[in-house]
Amino acid sequence: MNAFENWLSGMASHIKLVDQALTGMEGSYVELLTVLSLGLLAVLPVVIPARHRQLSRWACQVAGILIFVFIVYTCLGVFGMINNFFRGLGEIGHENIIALYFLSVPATILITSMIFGPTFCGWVCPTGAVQEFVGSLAGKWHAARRRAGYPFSWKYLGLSLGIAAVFFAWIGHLSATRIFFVEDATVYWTEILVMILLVLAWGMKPWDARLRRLRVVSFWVITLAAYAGMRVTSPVHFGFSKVYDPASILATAIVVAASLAIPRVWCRYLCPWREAIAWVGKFSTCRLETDPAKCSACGGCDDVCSVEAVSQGVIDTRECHFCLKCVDACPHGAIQIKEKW
Amino acid sequence: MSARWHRPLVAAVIAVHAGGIVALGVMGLAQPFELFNVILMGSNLVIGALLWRGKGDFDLGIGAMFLIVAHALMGQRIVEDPLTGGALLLVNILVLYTGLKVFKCLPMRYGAVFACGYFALYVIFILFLQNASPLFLLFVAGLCACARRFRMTAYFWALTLAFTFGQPYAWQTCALMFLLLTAVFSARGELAAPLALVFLAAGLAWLFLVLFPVAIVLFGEDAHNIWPLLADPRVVSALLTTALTATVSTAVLLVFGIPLAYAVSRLRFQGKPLVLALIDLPIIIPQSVAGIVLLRAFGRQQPLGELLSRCTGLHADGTILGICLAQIFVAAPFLIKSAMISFENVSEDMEMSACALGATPWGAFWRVAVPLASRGIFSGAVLAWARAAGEFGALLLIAPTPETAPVAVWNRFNSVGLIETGPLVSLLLLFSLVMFFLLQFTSRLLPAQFGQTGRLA
Repeated sequence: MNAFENWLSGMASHIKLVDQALTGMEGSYVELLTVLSLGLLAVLPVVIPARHRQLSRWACQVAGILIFVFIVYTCLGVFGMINNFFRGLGEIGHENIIALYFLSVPATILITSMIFGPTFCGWVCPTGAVQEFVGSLAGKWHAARRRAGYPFSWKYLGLSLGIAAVFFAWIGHLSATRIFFVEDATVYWTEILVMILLVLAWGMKPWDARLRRLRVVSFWVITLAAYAGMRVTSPVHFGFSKVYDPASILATAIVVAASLAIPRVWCRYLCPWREAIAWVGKFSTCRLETDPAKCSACGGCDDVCSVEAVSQGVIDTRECHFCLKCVDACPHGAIQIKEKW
Repeated sequence: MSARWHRPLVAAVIAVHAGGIVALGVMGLAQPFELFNVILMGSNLVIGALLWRGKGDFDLGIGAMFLIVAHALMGQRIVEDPLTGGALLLVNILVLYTGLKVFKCLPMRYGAVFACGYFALYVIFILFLQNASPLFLLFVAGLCACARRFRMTAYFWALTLAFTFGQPYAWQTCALMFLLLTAVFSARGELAAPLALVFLAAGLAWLFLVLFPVAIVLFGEDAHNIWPLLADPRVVSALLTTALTATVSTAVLLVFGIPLAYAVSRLRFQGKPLVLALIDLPIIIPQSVAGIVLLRAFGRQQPLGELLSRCTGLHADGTILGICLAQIFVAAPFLIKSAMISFENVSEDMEMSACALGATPWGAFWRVAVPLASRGIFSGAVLAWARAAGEFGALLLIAPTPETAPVAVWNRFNSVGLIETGPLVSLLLLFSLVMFFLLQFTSRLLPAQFGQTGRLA
C-alpha cells in the first residue's frame, strides 16, 4: 500500500515541462502558455467542424489532461482554483506577476465560459475527462439503467458498497499513519460522495435533482474557506502539485471508481467550479438551442447526455457541459449552437 | 466588400507575410524557421486556404490574417519573446472577433464603450501599474466577454477598478459597487425614470460613504481573532447586558409610548404642537448633555434620585436601572413618532364601527387600532431597540458600569488602541446587524394595514 502511494506521489513530482513556475521562458511567463493553450482549447468546440466532433473532443480532453499535468502550475484541483482566484485578485496592484500566477487558469476558464459557453467542463477539464473515460467503460449499462427509470439494482448497490468499502479501508489505513486536518477537505467531500452513491441506490429518481444542489453548498463552503485563508485540497490535487498528498490520491481513486456507477458523478453533485461555470455560462453568447419545429421528442439526446442535462430536447443550461453529444446525436438536427449578441 | 476581392486579398496578405519574413530573415532581423514563425505562417496558410474556398466568416478571417502578419513582421518590436507574443496575438484576435460582432450586431454605442474600455485598460495596466502587461491580456479578454451588455460591462469595470485602485480594501469596494450597480440596473418604475435613476445613483453613492467604513471593519478582521472574544467573559457579559437592558427599555417604552401615541393621534388639545415638538427633544439635545441632565435629576443627592433611593432603596447611577433610564430617555422619540404615524394612518371609522358593533373603547383600541398599526409600531420598536442598544454618551455619564457593549468598546479603545479594538468592533457590528435584520424580517409577519403592502409606515 505504502509502496503504491509512494509510486503515485513519485510519479507526480518533477513532471512539469518547466522547472519552476514564474521563471521566465525566454523572458516570458509560463502562465501565459497556460492562458494560451486553455484559450485555444476552449475555442475549439465552436469552430471545429461537425464531422468527427466527438473524436476531436476526446483528443481535446487528452490534451487538457496533458496541459494540466505538464504545464499548469497554479491549478490545485477544483478547490485550489477557487482559492487561487481569491488570492490572485487580492494581489493585483501589489504583485502583479503573482496575481497573474494565481489568476491565469480561473480567469481564462471564466472568460471563455462567458464567450464560448461552458466548454471547459465538456472539453478540457481533466477531472471530468478522467471520469468520462472511465465511465464510458460502463456506458451501455448507464444508458440501459436510465431508460429503465433507475430501478433498484443489485449490481449498482454492490458497486457502491464496494466503493464504500475501499474508501473506509483506505482511510482507516491512512488515519493510522497521519492526522487529517480541515485542509484535507477532499476527504470530507469524498465521504459525502460515498453517501450520495448509497442514497442513490434506492432513490435515484427523486434524489438526483435535489442532490445536485449540493454543488451550491460546495461552492460556498470552498469560497468561505478561501476567504478565511484556508488552503484546501481537492481530488486530483496531487497530480498537479509536488506536495505528497494521500488524501487527494484517495479522493481521486474514489471519484474515478464512482464514475463507473454514475457517469460524471463528481461534476453532477459536488464540483464547485461546475456551479461557477454554469453561472457565468448564463451570460454566454454561444448557447444550445432546440428548434421545437424540428424536434420530434424522440429522446435520442437523453441517451447520450452523461449528466442528464437534456430531456426530450429541452436543455437545462445549469447542467449542460457543452459536450455537444446531443447536437451530434439528434437525427433531425434540431439542437444547434446559436450565437446571440 | 464584394466577394470577387476575397481571393486576391487573401493571396496578397499571404504574399506580404511570406515576403516580409524572408526579407527580415535576409536582413538578419528575424529567423524565418523559428518555431513561433513557422506556427504563424502555418496558421495563416490554414486560414487563407479556408477563406480561399469561401468557408468561414471572411471579415473575421482576413482580420485575423492581418493580425498574424503584423505579429510575424513587427511582433518582436512589441514583445521580445514568442510566448507573450502568442498570447497577445490570441487576445488581439479575440478583441477583433468581439469588436466585429459588437459593430455588426449591436448599436454603435456598444462599440464606442468597448473601444474606450480597451484604452482605459491600456492606461491602467500598461501605463499605471508596474509589471502588469500579462494581466492586461487577461483583463482585455474579460472586457471582450462583457462587451455585449452594458450591465455586464459595468460590473466588469466595478471589479477592475475595485481591484486596481481599491486595494487593500478591494473586496469591500467591489461588493458595495456591485450592490449599487444591481440596484440601479434593476430599478423599475413608471414616473420620470431617468431623473429618478440619477437620484437613486447619487443617493446610493452617499450610502457608499456610510457602508464603506462599516465594510472595512466588518470584513477586514481575521475570523481567527473574533472567535476567542466570545470566550472572554467581559465581552459576553457586555453583550448580555446590552441585549437585556435594550429589551427592557423597549418594553417600558411600548407600555407608555403606544397609549401616548394613540392619544396624541386621536385628540386635539391646546399645546399639541408643543407636545409634539417636545417628544422630539431627546433627538435634539446632545448625548452628553442628556447624560448630565439625567445625572442632575437621578444622581445621588439629587432631587429624583434621593426620592427614588428613599422610597425603594434603588440607585440610578452605576446600575442597570440607570442604563435603562438613559436608554428610555434617548430611544423614546423613535418609538412614539412611528407609532403616532401609523395610528394616524388607521382610519377612525374602523374604531367607530367597532364601537357601534358593541366594542368597548378599550376593545376598539386593543383589538382594532393596535393590530392595524402593529407594523409601524414594531418598526418603531426595532429602531428604539437599536438606538437603546447603541446608546453611549448618556450611559458614560450616568452608568459607565456595568459595561454595555458601546462602553466596552470605548474602554478597550482607551486601553489598547485602534487596531486591537478591531475584532471587538467587528463582532459588535455582526451582532447588531444580525439583530437588526432579524427584527426587520419579523415585522413582515405582522398584519399589514389596508392599502399598505409591506411598506414601513
